[in-house]
Amino acid sequence: MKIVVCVKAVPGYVIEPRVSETGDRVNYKAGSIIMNESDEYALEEALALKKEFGGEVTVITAGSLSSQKALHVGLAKDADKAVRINTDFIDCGSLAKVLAETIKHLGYDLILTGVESSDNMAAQTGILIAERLGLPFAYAVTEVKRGGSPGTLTVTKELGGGVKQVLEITLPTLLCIQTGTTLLSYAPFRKVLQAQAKPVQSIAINELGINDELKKSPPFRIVDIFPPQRVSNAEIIDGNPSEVASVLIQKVREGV
Amino acid sequence: MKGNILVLSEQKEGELDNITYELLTKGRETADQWGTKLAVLVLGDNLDSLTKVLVSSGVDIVLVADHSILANYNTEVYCAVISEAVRDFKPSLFLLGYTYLGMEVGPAVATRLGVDITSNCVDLALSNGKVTVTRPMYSGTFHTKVEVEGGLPYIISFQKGALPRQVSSTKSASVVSVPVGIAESTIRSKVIDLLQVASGEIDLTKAEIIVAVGRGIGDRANIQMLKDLAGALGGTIACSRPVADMGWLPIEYQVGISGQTVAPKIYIACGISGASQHIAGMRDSSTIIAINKDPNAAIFSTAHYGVVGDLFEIVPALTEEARKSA
Repeated sequence: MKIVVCVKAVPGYVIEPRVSETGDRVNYKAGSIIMNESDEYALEEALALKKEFGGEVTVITAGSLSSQKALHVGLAKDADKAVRINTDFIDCGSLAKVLAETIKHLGYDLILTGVESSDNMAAQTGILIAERLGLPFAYAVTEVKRGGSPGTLTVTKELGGGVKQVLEITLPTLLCIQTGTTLLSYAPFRKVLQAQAKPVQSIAINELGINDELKKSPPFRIVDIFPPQRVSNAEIIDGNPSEVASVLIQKVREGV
Repeated sequence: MKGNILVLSEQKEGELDNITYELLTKGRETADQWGTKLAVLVLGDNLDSLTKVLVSSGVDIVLVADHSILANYNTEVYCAVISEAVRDFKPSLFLLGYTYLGMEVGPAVATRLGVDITSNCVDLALSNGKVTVTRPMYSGTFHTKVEVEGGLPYIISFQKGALPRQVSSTKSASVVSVPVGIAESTIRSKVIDLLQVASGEIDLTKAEIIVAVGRGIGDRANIQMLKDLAGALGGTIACSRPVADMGWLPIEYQVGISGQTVAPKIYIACGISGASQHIAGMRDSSTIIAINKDPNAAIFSTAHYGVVGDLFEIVPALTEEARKSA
């Protein structure tokens, strides 16, 4: 099975974010660069499926050179190939277009993504890729198994409120993998170092032949960025732990 | 661009979900400012009673897609029907929830209409002829104000619980039937089962006192400390998503959009930062107590009582006090 996993390198935390002059992006200092959390689970799922079905796993990202860090993690965890599309797009629509085109060229049976990136928090890119490629998809997937009939997978996904749906879905398909589906493995430092020496295929946007479709500016203008205004209505209880405990337990007794 | 506004309704077991009322409130306000019409789209099977509720929910038009094929949610079918309904109605604004349904359907409908979607918003305002939304970035540590641009309709999804809910029931809407035409042979994903997370020994929704634990607990071994407090109070333990993800508590203990929605008399949040997904599952608790070492934690916006401090000091003191006064 040919599995492609879309991963994103995201800042662990950001310092001094500022809106660019044209309002098309936010510039910031990144505290660290990590692989987006749900993408880690997507990668883990891909490697597990490779063990069961055989085949190969390709990790792919769209971003600047620093985003290769996420690909190196993928290679260190035994992904077979790594591909980076060199771009500084930040809007989901453009990212999905370049990812979908690249994946089409690579070939695939199954595409895995995470559910939401921690930086943009939009939860769009996976499904936008599926739609562009005309694939059936499932979001917030917690389990992937061999399907009841050939060429299918049995997929469990969350519907919210503690309810899950089990689907039989025809390959090729795209699945957005939820966090917590499995325990994450850790790549030993030695393997991470080795991975950094492995080749990453770099693709320029104009190689994809979709320049006409890519917008020069995103479909939005960022006006401002600020820490969320939190109106705390909470009555703050001060004091040492036993003083605090005495007040709180009284509140509990009153409230029951 | 001041055209009609369409809201996607969500329901569960025949009752409208709160997100529907929240979207209708914002939709009504915006339609009144523009002097345009507000419509709501509802999908399902045997929708007579839901339609009746929607007709008097302050909207002008109720679009009803009533068909047996829509009885159970199938993403492919819902995406197809919703896309067609939006295409036919031609709204300027299409509002939906940043919910499981909206996260699946939103980007797909946008693609099919050849437009973009602005997702995960917490507010919408009109200024200088622009639609401006507020949405989180960077794990919610920042909010951005964003002017929506691009083609119509603007498709915008909102977090559950973010918008105020205040629906007038004075209007009487017209009802329009939406065609449901999809060939079953084209459907590539078949729903074979629905699983309710086993509540087993616990039913969080019936608990009067809940002691909830979040990422701040640091390690699985520390869960016992919270179990002790729950025990001393005669309550039950619960958790936020990261704790269940790490396998420290089974998923049936998880409170939030993906887990249980609870409204106990007492909810004690320990080491829970207060991500919107968690808040949506516990905001209706009668008394909310939050213990967190970060004074800026979002949980303090929802809590009635707050303690800024180390839960490893506070929780044992609480347990001792609870045992003393039991």
